[in-house]
Amino acid sequence: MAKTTVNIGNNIKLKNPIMTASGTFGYGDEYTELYDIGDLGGIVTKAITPELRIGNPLPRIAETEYGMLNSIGLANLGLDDFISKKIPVIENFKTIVFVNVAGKELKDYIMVAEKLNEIDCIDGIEVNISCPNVKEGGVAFGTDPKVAAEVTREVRKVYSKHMMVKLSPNVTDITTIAKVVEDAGADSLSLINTLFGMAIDTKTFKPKVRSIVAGYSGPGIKPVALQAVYKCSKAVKIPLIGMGGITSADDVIEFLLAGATAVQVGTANFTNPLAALNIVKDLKEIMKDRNISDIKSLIGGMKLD
Amino acid sequence: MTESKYHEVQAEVVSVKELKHNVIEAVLRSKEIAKNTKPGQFITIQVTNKDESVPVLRRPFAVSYTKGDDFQIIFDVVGRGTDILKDMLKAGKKINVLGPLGNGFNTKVNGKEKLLLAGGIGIAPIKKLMQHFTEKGDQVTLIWGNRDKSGFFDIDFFMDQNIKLFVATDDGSLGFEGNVLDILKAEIKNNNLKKINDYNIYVVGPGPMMKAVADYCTEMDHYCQVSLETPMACGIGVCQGCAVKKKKEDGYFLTCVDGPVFNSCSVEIP
Ligand SMILES: Cc1cc2nc3c(=O)[nH]c(=O)nc-3n(C[C@H](O)[C@H](O)[C@H](O)COP(=O)(O)OP(=O)(O)OC[C@H]3O[C@@H](n4cnc5c(N)ncnc54)[C@H](O)[C@@H]3O)c2cc1C
Ligand SMILES: Cc1cc2nc3c(=O)[nH]c(=O)nc-3n(C[C@H](O)[C@H](O)[C@H](O)COP(=O)(O)O)c2cc1C
Ligand code: FES
Repeated sequence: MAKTTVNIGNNIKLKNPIMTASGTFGYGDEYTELYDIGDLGGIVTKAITPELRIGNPLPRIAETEYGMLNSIGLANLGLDDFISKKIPVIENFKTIVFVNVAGKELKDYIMVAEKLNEIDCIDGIEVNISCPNVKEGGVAFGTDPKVAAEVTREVRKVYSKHMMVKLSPNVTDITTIAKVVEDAGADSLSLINTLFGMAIDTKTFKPKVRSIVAGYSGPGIKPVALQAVYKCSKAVKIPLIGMGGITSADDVIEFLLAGATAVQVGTANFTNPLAALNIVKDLKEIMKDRNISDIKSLIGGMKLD
Repeated sequence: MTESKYHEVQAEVVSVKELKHNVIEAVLRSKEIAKNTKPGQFITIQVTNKDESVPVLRRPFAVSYTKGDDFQIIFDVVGRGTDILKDMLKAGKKINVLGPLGNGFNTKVNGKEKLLLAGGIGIAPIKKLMQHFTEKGDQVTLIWGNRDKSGFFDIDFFMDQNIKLFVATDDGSLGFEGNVLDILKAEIKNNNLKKINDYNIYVVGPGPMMKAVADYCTEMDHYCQVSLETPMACGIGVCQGCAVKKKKEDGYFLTCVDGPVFNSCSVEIP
């Protein structure tokens, strides 16, 4: 049997490198209708903020040639309802569970992280300093190195389990942010969040998403994501979780070769709700076909000649 | 494990008919979907072609009829996805279907006659609803409106049903001249239809049409059930992309799980 387990730092062991990306997998429960999510390496929940958020005006999504735009605005049920309604379900999941944490102000992040630190079935948090879809906070935390470092440092103080920090590609040099976040105490980095994007309906002259500028995801962003992973892998020592346009097991291998230890599958879950599971199965097949005995051997394994 | 709400299946294409130019009726085989779909519920289809640039989002369609293990969809070819879908639908082929999704019509409101109003392709979910009521032996009145007579298809099928059928066109090229609301008011006035409050009303069509009927119902101290269309990414309540505004309070419903059918009093029709 080929070995598919990977470690993210010293406290997270994934049975395979496939996780699902925040905002594309709900709180996991919707997908348990369709398959055993215990077969996945892990899942990341939708962003959680201290209070309920109803989200942005409509329309919030639009398809583009090679992906989609979204401006959901972190719509979520809020921390208290998450704990009372979703935790009892999550407790039964036989996979690694990360909660995506977001907020308007630094104290929001601290409050959510502090509460989640006490919950056993949550294995780690993914600190979202990269959401392009909220006016306050969000990406503002992830584009200024000083602020990114401060959020990381302050959340670190209250959170003792695995802290992953999610980076935005909408910066001049992603490695600058990666380095300060590493220094401030992050256990791992996930990248990339959505790119800024927009689309206009040429018949009505209206923007296809009400916020005008939205977050672009899907196959079209894969080359951008890969170079971000590659560059960060040269700049930091902590593990990287790569994402952006992954739709197949081959894409996963590509991200690992570029330097990722694990990956997240996002928009592909919408194309096919079984996408993440199918990728896990296909990855095992490919490993057999290509005589890859240990998935870890692929990490950072790109060859120059 | 509890019974699943929805299923991902490889449905076999049983038959495909072009009802008129660019209106396709397809019959697909899936026991899970055919047996479990209630009127007003929908499915999503993964559209793929051999081209590398496949649409990342599935396309939603109402289930328009069921028989045994088979279910039917009827759709307008309006853009990239439906164009590809039209080519994908070849008898014997399998296509990826997720469903049944959403909450259908509330069909359990007793005692009243059923008034079904369809605008254009809105006839698709209405057809399944009609099937449900006629099989139960309920009294059904159907009004189907289109811009002009070229909008109608499969009209013989509807004429063969044991229902009261009215048709209307904006330009008068077939049936009544005027829109669905115009004919509704006129036939009530002519005593061909009862008072609006004597019906359970179900409306599917373009936004402005549903809005007009909903406003009229409100004016008459009544309500109707409307089926909404919004862009959708997941279809199962995950992405929050299909939100529609609530009417009486702040906040949003999700069309895919709270709808697509709503009480006209509770939702802003987009
Ligand atoms: C719950 C639900 C049930 C539906 N049932 C049916 C049905 O039974 N028969 C049918 O013909 N169509 C139905 N639709 C609409 C159908 O899904 C769209 O027409 C289809 O997705 C368009 O895909 P496309 O790629 O061909 O068009 P696109 O290239 O995406 O768009 C072409 C045009 O259609 C508009 N459009 C695209 N998607 C939608 C949408 N979801 N709602 C409204 N306008 C849209 C676009 O703005 C554009 O003007 C339903 C939609 C929903 C949400
Ligand atoms: C509808 C939607 C909602 C998202 N919501 C979140 C979110 O709440 N938090 C977050 O960190 N990222 C969110 N993302 C970004 C994804 O997690 C991921 O970083 C991005 O989509 C790139 O991966 P992909 O191309 O595989 O989708 C969202 C993406 C989409 C499409
Ligand atoms: S389509 Fe994703 S929540 Fe409704």
